Amino acid sequence: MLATSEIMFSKFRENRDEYMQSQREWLEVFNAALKPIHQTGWEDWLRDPFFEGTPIFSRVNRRMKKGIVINQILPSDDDLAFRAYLDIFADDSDVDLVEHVVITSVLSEETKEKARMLINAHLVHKLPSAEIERLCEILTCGSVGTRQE
Amino acid sequence: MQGGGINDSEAWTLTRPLEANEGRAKLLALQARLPFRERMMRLKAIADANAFIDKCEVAGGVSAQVSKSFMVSGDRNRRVDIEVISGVAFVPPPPPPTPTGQQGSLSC
Repeated sequence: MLATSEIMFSKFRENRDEYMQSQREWLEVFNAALKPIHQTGWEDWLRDPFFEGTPIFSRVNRRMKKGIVINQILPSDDDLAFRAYLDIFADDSDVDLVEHVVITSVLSEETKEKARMLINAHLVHKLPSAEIERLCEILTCGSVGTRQE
Repeated sequence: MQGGGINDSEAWTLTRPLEANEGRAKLLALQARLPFRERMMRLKAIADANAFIDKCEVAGGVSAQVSKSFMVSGDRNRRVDIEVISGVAFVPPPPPPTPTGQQGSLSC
């Protein structure tokens, strides 16, 4: 359960070292998820101008038009400790359009594993959008304090 | 705006950076189109989006690409998104035009 998975780097907004360590943690998750296929063409993507952790980590593959966005939060920010959804950046643009998974989460061993699973499903197994959305839903529902529509 | 049956947006395509005031006006327009219940549920997310625009203005604007999602706490779907796809956005207003005919000199 999330309650037993310790939150890491909870001072990431005030402490630039913690911010960068958090980025490294998510990079490791991303690399671990992609390891089975050694994909190339991934580059740093979205800016976080005020170092708020939204996003703390993002990667895009312009050729594939796919991306990953990870927003790091604290337990006090949201009743959900982990949420994920599929989104499209610049959906009116042929050039900039990117289908991406957004993960908004605290940083813990458990959420890292959830993120790895989701990134792997999206980028390695290339599951259809409907299945990615379903997986996002399942993982989000698995968090505490879920409010249903 | 996304979630709760809402999928509405205010886009811009300009040859100059979008001013922060214009960004806030777009957010207000979106807010005004929301049904009352949906608006109430998003109050905090809208305030956070406004605060982000304010911070950008103070910083002189923000460069692309930026994607920010302001979530409704505890809700799986409802959110307010800001995307800066290209260029610069949420810049401060330009200084007022200088009236003509001003003169001066420095000397020693």
